[in-house]
Amino acid sequence: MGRIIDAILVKGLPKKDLKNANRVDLWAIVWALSMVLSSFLVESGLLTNPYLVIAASLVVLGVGVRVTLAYKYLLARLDEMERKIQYDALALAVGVSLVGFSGYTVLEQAELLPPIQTYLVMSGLVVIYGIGLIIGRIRLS
Amino acid sequence: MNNHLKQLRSDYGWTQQDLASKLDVSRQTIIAIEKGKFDASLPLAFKIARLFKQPIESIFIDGVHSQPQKS
Repeated sequence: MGRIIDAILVKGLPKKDLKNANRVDLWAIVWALSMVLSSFLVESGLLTNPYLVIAASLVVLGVGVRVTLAYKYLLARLDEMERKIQYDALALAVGVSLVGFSGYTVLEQAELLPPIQTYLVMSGLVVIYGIGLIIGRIRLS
Repeated sequence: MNNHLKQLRSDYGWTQQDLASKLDVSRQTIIAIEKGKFDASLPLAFKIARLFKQPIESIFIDGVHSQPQKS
């Protein structure tokens, strides 16, 4: 259990890596909030002007690009073992999502399952990525 | 890949955290390298070799070439 907690808390990373990771987390929170707020405004009918909807989408897109750049910056300077763990977790998340999504699509076309929601795919990616990180850290500890 | 990092580190009287700080990596990375669970990259291997003033091949053991050759 202690190893799992250590894996989640990422103990022992150099300060520069923690600072870069915090920057990614901060931008990711801003991105999530901008997406939730935009969706809420559109769904509640408060944002109906097409130009404003496009502007809101561009804000979400811009913040998303900033998250990606911050993550790229983090990866480029990250402790090399942690970088390998990150790459493995990303590969696991993409692989499982592709295989899972393609399998689901077949079942969906056969009308055995309801259409998949986008937020479920995104949440699944994040959860698998997180599990991949924990597995990687435990495996190499 | 096996290595003599643990032995070298203790010869110098350094802790894993000391070595990690000198190499600018995490203590977990040092632990994993010492246990042979993670192979250091070439730049890190050179950094380690420079730090201990030894050639890379005397610190890291190539599993392929260290096996006895058949006659």
